[in-house]
Amino acid sequence: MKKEGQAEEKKQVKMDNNNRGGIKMRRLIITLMVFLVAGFSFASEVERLVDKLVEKGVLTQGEAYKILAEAEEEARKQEALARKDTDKISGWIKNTKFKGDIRLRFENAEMDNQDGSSIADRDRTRIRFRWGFDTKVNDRTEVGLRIATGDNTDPTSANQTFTKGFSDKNIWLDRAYLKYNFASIQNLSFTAGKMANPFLSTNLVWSGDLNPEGLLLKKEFPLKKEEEKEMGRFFVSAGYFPVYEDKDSITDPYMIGTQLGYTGTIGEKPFKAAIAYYDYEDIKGQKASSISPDFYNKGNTLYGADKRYQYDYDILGAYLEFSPVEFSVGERKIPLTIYGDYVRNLYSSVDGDTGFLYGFRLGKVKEQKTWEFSYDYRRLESDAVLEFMPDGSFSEGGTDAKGHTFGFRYATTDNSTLGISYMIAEGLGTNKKRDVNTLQIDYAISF
Amino acid sequence: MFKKILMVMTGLTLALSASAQQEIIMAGSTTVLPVAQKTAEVLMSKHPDVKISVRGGGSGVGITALIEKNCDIANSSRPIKDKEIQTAAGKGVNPKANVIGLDGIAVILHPSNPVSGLTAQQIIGIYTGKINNWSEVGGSNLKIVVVSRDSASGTFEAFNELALKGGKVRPDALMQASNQAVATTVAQTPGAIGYVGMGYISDKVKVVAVDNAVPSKETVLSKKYKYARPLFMYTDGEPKGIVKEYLDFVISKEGQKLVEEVGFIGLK
Repeated sequence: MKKEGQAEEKKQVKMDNNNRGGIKMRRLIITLMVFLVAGFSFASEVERLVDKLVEKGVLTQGEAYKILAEAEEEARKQEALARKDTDKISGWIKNTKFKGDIRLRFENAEMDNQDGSSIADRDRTRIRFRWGFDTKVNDRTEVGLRIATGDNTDPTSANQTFTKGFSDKNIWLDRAYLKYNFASIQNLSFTAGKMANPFLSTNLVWSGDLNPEGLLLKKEFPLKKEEEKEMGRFFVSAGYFPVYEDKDSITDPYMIGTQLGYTGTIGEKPFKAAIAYYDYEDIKGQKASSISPDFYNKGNTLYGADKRYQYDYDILGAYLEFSPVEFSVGERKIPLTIYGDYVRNLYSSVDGDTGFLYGFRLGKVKEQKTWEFSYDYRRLESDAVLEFMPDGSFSEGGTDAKGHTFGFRYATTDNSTLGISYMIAEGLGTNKKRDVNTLQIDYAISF
Repeated sequence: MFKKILMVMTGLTLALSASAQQEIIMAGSTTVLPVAQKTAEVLMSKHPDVKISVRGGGSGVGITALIEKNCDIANSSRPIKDKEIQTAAGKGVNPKANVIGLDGIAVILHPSNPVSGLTAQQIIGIYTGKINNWSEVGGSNLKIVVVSRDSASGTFEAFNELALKGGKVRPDALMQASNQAVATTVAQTPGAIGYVGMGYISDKVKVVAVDNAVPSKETVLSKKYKYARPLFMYTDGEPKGIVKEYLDFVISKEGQKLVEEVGFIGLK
């Protein structure tokens, strides 16, 4: 009985030893598999090796399955842990895009009075610096912020002149907005704050540096030619934009802006078109110096010693941009783009109520050594738009002028351009706007 | 006085012996549940000093419990997700995959349904809502009633990945909280189709072939059956102590026999 017991014990010990040996062997195999799968991704080689072990009877098919599955899991775990550090960064940081640009400008302006007498040339060196970010806070909400040089008296430009004995220059809040994309209605968004100009136009109507403040609702309607390819988007935008707040008045000026348009292609050619209506309320009778303290008397009709606006501004605008041809020069594609803008102030009895611009652009600045040449002609009568809306360079900003703009830009590197433009602006005479010929030489870097 | 000392000593002895009882808490997959219950039962009968409590809830629930350190073993019928691994690491938990058996997710019908086989593509069509009547796949003119598992289920996720390739289950599908509930619903509904772990196959439902293969030890191991998957018991790091003893038992010949007894595929 005792012998039987001893024999059983020995057998058990032997089995245990075998078992331990087997376990050690399997551990060794698992370690090897993990090393191979994780380190070299020789997954198919590992499988072949395990298959061989199954063939030789070292492993059962089930054990082979277990070894491979556990090794794969271990490798996946190591990968997930390696990614953890990068995943640690908050989602919104990962969804943040930083953007900025700096532009150095030399400007010469040669000015004449309406009577033909000449005023001395004016030379300025100027800087424009802008930096900001757009971030996706969650699936629906975006927030954007941009700071820029400039001054708080000119809404049409972020340029800052080098002056006042090397004094430091101000940085302003150029944009700060939130955008909410509705979940229940596709392609419907709501934007609030100081935002990028949502209205399609040339700088005849809106300066490229102007960022309106208010609320905007925008709905887009994607146009699909095929299942996958989107031709473009129709859109309708409507917004409320306060213009001036007077603590003693309940009739503060504001603008209701609406635009209906399309951006995309027609016959695979880039095409944009839009019709807008900008309805300014309670501008008439307001002191121009209140609404835009240092940026008035630039073409609009004012009356009285304290210079009040004579009209309201109910502006109808139409915009078109089309690239019908693309020339091939070697491997380069040189697109030709034509564009035009038309505005009319529908407020009754306005004398200078119309503005238009037409022009073209040949080429397009993108990567290094690409270039573009542009030309446009414009005529903007005194009260076609409010004077703080259009480009701040042509005719020193404002309305009541006509003339030509020539421009050439060349990409010296992928993110830098050298540009030259020349504007010949002639006052229309309604509100004694002087003639100005402006030369601008720019070097700009974006990042 | 002596009596009091004796009572205190007895109390202390009882308390010490009670604390000497070792406990394993398991939670998670309802697919793995029969394996866990059966093996726990047998081990406890051999070691009365070991107490093993087993809870279901779904693979996701089990893995969360492991991460929160509310259980020793998380039963799972799907691999742990990357996000779960990262969350676990943040809480000082190192999930270790222990494969304890294999399973083929069986596609089941009501026994009266004449359909005996489906293609993988037809199953995608049925579950995503493109196929709505059995007559479209060679059956009788009967509306298809789709039965699926809820999203906390590992079987749901494994089926989604293996069978539906990420496709979305039709919104009118009847979502059930356990394998048993799926099997029961299918057994009681003539037009129904569902999927369960092999351990839940019974003569009350009909198993259909998928691309000419029915789930069996041979088809799963040879990977001829497409919806095959390992079954896991996750631990925090390499198993130790009583947890290691239990897992060693589960993958032992005896334990694997129990795995097969409850309908799954053993590793031996």
